[in-house]
Amino acid sequence: MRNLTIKYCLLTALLTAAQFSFGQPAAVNDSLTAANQLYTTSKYKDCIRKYQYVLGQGFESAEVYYNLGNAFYKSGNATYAILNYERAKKLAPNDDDILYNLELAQTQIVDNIVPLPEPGFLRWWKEFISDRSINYWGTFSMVTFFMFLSLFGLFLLSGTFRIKRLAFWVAIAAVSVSAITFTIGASLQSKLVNHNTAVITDRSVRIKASPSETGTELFIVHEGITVRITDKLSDWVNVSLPDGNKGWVKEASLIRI
Amino acid sequence: MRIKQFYLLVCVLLLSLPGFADQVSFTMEAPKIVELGEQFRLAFTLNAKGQNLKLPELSDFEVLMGPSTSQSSSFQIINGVSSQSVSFSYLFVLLAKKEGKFTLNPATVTVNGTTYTSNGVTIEVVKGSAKPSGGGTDKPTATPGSVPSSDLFVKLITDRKSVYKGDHVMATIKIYSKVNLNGFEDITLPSFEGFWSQDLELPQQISLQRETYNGEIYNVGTLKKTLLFPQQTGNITIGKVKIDCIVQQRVRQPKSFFDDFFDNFANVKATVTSDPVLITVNPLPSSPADFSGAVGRFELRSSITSTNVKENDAITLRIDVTGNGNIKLINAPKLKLPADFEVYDPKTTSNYTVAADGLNGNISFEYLFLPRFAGDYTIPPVNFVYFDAGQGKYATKSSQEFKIHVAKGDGTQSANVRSAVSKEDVKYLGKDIRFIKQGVTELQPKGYVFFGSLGFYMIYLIGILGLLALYFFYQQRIREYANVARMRNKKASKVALKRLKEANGHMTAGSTEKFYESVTRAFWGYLSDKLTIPVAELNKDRASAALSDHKASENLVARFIQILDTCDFARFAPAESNAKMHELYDEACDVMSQMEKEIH
Repeated sequence: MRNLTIKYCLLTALLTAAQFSFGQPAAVNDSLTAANQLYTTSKYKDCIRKYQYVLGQGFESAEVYYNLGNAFYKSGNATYAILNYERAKKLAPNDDDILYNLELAQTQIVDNIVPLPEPGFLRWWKEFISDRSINYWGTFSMVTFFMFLSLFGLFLLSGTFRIKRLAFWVAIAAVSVSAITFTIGASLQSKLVNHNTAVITDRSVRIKASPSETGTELFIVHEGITVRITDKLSDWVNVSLPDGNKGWVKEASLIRI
Repeated sequence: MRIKQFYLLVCVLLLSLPGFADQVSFTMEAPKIVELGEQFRLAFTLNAKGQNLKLPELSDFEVLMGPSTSQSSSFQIINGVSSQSVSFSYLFVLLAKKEGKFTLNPATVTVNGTTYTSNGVTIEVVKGSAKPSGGGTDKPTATPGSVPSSDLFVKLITDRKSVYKGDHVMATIKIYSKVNLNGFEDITLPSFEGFWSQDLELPQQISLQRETYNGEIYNVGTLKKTLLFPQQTGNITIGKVKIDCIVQQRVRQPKSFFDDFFDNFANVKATVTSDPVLITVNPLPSSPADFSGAVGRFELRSSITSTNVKENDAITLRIDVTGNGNIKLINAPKLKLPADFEVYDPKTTSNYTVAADGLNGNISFEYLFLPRFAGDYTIPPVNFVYFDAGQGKYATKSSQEFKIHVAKGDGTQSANVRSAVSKEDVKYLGKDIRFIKQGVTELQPKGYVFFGSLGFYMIYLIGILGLLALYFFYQQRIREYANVARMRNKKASKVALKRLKEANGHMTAGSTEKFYESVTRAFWGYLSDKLTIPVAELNKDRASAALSDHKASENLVARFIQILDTCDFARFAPAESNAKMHELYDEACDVMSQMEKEIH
């Protein structure tokens, strides 16, 4: 019992240390407060500038992206609203407000793209994974790993055979759960770090069949569409639309989420 | 009658006023073709009173008579506006002396001190027929009532027999006559099937001109001039022209006294028919993809209303094709606009005149389109491909390239709004986004994820290290604990014996209660040390179970329980004799020594 407490103390200490090591300066906090005030008084242009200042200082959070998206939406720029909601969603996948506003902003864009249907199980699994944040999966993995450590300790130290056997099997289960959640977390983290999704920001973009100006024009999309980047060649990227269409587009026509 | 006389008077009065004619015209007229030795008239017409008429060189001709001057005038009032014209003419009668083409230079005349120059005239003198001069009309006909076909015929003449499809052919219908033509009764024209035809404008009055045909001079009248544009390939036959003419013929009477003074004339109906004409229409060589159907020679100009507009502002691109050819039949060239422009059908207007060399004029195409989205667009040049029939190959004219800058609209009629409404998401109208998240939020450095960071892995490592440390710590403790247990085991019997001796002392002292208590404590302490069970956790059941685990015999456990029961009973019912205490003491010593033997 006592050792577990010690470990939790250690974990908390480490987490708080990490938190403190990049504590936010007062100027940034003031900007956030001022920006929220400006939003309330409908001065969206100034509000956007304040939020962008905060982001420019190298900080981010789901709330700042969400608020910036709101300011863009209110100033009539649905495309950048979508971009910022998507960024917020990446940091906080299960935030109801973000999802609601994102859906609303997406009704303002030109193209009506029907996403490709996915098998029910796959969709459920993806939702299950992305509904929780990376840190959730990370913490889950860590907690189960410590459970495994404790049980393994019990297995080693217990004098009673029945307890030993029980501890062994539960420890195996715990380490399996830990490994699975760690894998999920790692896949989410790679998504977050790689920035392989993007929002089209040009008013109207012709998607080409090959990465050159002379390539056959396949179809036209308009700003606000969220695409997945699958390949890159000099300043061209291969994008995949939610409805399964694929093609090449200049990287300048989109902004990575 | 009186009114006429009055007008005449007025005319004469007005004539005396000089300088009424605002524009002086001076023309020279002569037949184009004359026979050798034929007399003909050379006339000069002037619409003002002139002086000092200077004639051109007439050395190639013999002047038989002239100049005889005449003058006419007219005066008219139309809707209260009066106009008056006067005309002076000078007439010469010439005789052609020799064959050839002769050009008469312009003549000059002076009107009110200004010198005016007439036009020049070319006269062709041909060798005449063997018949004596004096005009064909005077010739008495051989068979009265009929007109020989060599004297009156109609011809349909085309300027060429072989033509490309789409190019033009000029068809002229002419009547040739040596007889006195009085008029036409009925003219049947061919239908020009297989052609698109455009008639040239001709004067209402058919004037006869002298022309040679097969070396003979005919009076020739042009009835119709038509431009024909073949619409199909192959051999196309133009049908016959049929004309019913009325010819005035002198009828020879039996020679009489008056013959030399009077002639009798009769109107004779004569029907003339032309030969059909065959036109070979050649197909155009294999045409390029964007061939417009135009055949001829053309120039292209393009213009645009604006190149700097806002979203949804209309732009008109105009393409003007000017030239000669089948203007009316040109298709609008294809305009390659950026794909999401809204484009309307081009508006076509054509304006042309029909002339002997084809249709001259222009056709313009106006393309109206609306850019829907902001951005920079390029309208590539429009290629206008036509067939140059003269050179027998295709030619391309290109318009200029236009670059259009479309600025973002003010949003009042934005395409965005429209398309959003056209989707079936109307349920969201009137809804709004949720409010921002208030309060100071916890920021983190951009791109920082705790997962996968060094700290994250450190926690795992610390956990593993902690477990290892714990494990070794326990191992150590177990070792130490084992030593203590062994020592207590060794000491157990000594301690027990000590307590039994203590009990013995109580027994001799006669304190019954303390004796039983000492015996109980001796046993519990012994078992606690021997079996490493805390005294607090010991009771009879636990002790008997532990003894059984340590392979104590059932008899021994029963005896041990018996002693404990006796002690408990004696402690709460103290009226026991000394002998009983002795007996218990001996039994306890025996069980203890037995336990020492059986438990290890």
